[in-house]
Order: sequence, then C-alpha cells, then structure tokens
Amino acid sequence: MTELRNVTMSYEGKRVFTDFSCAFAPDCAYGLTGASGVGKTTLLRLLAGLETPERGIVLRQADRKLRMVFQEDRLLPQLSVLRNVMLETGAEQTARELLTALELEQEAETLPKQLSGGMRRRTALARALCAQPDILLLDEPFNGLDSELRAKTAAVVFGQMEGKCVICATHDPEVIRPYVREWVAL
Amino acid sequence: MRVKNGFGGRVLRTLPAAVFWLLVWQLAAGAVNQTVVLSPPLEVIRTLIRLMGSGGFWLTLAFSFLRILSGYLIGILLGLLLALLTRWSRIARSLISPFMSVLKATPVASFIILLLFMARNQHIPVLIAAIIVLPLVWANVTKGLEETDRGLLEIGSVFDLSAGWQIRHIYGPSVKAYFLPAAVTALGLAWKAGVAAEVLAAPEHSVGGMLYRAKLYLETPEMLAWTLCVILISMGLEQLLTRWMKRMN
Repeated sequence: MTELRNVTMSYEGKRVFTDFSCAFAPDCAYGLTGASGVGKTTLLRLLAGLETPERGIVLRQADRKLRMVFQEDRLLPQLSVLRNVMLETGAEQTARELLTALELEQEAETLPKQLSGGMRRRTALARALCAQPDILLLDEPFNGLDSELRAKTAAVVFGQMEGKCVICATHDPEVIRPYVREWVAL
Repeated sequence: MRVKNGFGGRVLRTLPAAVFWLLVWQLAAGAVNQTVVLSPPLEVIRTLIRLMGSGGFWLTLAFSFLRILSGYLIGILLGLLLALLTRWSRIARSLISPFMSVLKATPVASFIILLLFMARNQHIPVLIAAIIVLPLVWANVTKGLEETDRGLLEIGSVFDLSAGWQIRHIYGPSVKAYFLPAAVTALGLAWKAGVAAEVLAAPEHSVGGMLYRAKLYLETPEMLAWTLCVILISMGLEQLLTRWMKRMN
C-alpha cells in the first residue's frame, strides 16, 4: 500500500491537510477530485516524495516504481519527442509503440517547442508510461486535449496501467470514470 | 543597396566606422605633430607590417598567447569548480562569495605588483589572466546553476535519472546560457590584463615586454603597432569564440 498517515501540511502559507490519512492499493485506479487549491497537487507531490509533511508520514514501498505526470509538461527542450519519451529507459521500441498509440509517431524527431499543447501533453504521458511504473500519479493529465483525444488518451493510459495503481487528479472526472474504481474527494 | 549577412556584409557595415576613427586618429596625430607622442595611422600600419615580417614577432606573439591562454583556461576551470562548490555547500558559499568580491574590486596593478615579489616573471601573466577570469566565470556559472529549471530538476528526481545525466541535460543547458557569454567577455579581459602584466613583469618573448621596450626607446610607432596587434587579436578571438558559442546553441 501507498499511504498518507496523519499528514499535516501547509503550502505557500495555507493549511492544506490537517491530520489527513489516505491509503492507495497497488492494483487500483483512483480519481482525486476537489475544488482548485484544495490540495490535489500537494497530495500527489507528497506521494512522489517532492514534499515533506510538517507532521505525519508518507509510506511508499521502496520496490515499487513511481512516476508522475505534472500539470506542466516539463519536457526537455533540447531533446526530440522520442528522446524525451525514452529519457529514463533508453527503450526506443517501447517509446515508439507508445508514440504510435498516442498518435504522435509523426512527431518523433520534433522538438517540444514545435509541438502544440496537446502534443506536448501526450509526450509527457508517453514518457511516464515508457518507464512502466507500478504507480502512476497524474495531475490534470488531459489538459489541452479535445474531448475525442481525451477519451482516446485516457484509454491508452489506463490500458497500459491495467492492474496497477493510478492516482489521477482531474477537474474532468467524466473522462476517467470508466477506469476509476475509487474516488477520493478532498 | 542591401548588405548581406556574412563576413563581407559585416566588413561593409563596420567599414564606415573604421574609416571615421582612422580619420580622427590622423587628424589628432596631425594636430599633435610629434610622432613620438602620437604616430599617424599609416605609419603605425607600415610598422606593423614590418614587424610581421620578422620571425621574432611571431615567436613573441605565440609565447604571449600561450601564457595568457593558460591563465584563461585555469580561470575557467577554477571558476567552474568553485561555482559547483558554492551551489552545493553553504559553508563554501559563505567563504567564496566575499573572496570573489575582493578579487573583482582589487586593481589589476595591485595584483601584478604583489606577484612581482612572489612569482617568476613568466608566470605572472598566467596568474593575472586567471585572476581576471575567475570571478566572472564563477558568478555566471553560479547564476546558471541557481536558475536551473526547478520543474526539470523534479523530473530528474521523479524519473530516477542519474546525477551525471542531470548535469548533462538539465544543469548543462542552464549553465551554458550564462557561461558562454561570460567566457567571451573573459577572453578579452584576460588578454588585456595579461599583456599589462607582461609590461610590468617583462618576461622573455612577450608582447607586453615589446610594448615596454618601445616606450623606453620612444619608438611610439612600434608601441602603437604592438597595441594594434593586441586589439586585432582580441577582437579576432572574441569573434571566433562567439561563432563557436552560436554553434553550441
């Protein structure tokens, strides 16, 4: 299990969590919902180890690979789409398959600055999936995609993560509703 | 008439300014009317051409160039290393920052005179070039490290990328943006300061030594010819480095 236990956390001077606990099973897809500023991103950052709570603990299994897709794309500007996707693994074949699944195969040698917002988003998703994580954290993963692409992309992402843990923060729960087993409302 | 980019275009664009300043120089020399005080440009250029015909000229230039280049590279290397220390150690930062401020504020002449007591003559230009380059490179590389995109650093952390990879692909581009312009500026400064150090230290086979000798024997055309040589080399080196920098980007 990946868990937050009795976590108290402030972010930019504002109290976000007070004695908050939550557990995530290793084989389940979760949807995180809540108003803007309620703490969805902070929760994901705590799980990713990018923030330390003021009180309480964050439990992660050391042998489980965790990867995250941030709200911002955070692509390396000097690397092509393909090189960004195979960033960690160097697995070109897997990367190309993911690009094809996400309809980006034509952009493999393109630099991020030449991509549309939606293409950059999908590249960031492909990068996280290429690492074949056990736990995938998604922060507004489908921003910048039209409704048809959202549905297709969600199908690819959750399909790749079948049987594994996905925790997805989103303002648009309808896109992920077919895949999510449990909802966490903040 | 459209002036193209490229070498020819650049020459055409700078030619009017160069002609203007040569005319000003010529008028000033005419007004002073004493070659020993200010020689006219044509005489200086003739003297330079004559000097270039001698083997000693090229040997002197080579020795000066190698000395100052050594100092420049030492300053670059030290600047990089100390910037890394500054970035990752609070103690190092608290010690290095004031030291760099003092280095920047101290007159070059003070360093040269101090070193006359401590170092061998042929080493002084090397050390002076390094001292001039060091704080400039340190400040810019430190800034480049501080300005590294935090978002990309988090990617490095979440995606389990090695330190070496992060240095090359995340820190590297950020540092490069600050380091390369500093390296170009430092080259010109190292060259000027190095030659100044040679004037006072007078090592064998040195441009500075030739400047001092020309001054001693009141050979102003020769002094100005060597000066012109220093200026042309400095500008040439800056151009080469700037071109290389553009290719790197």
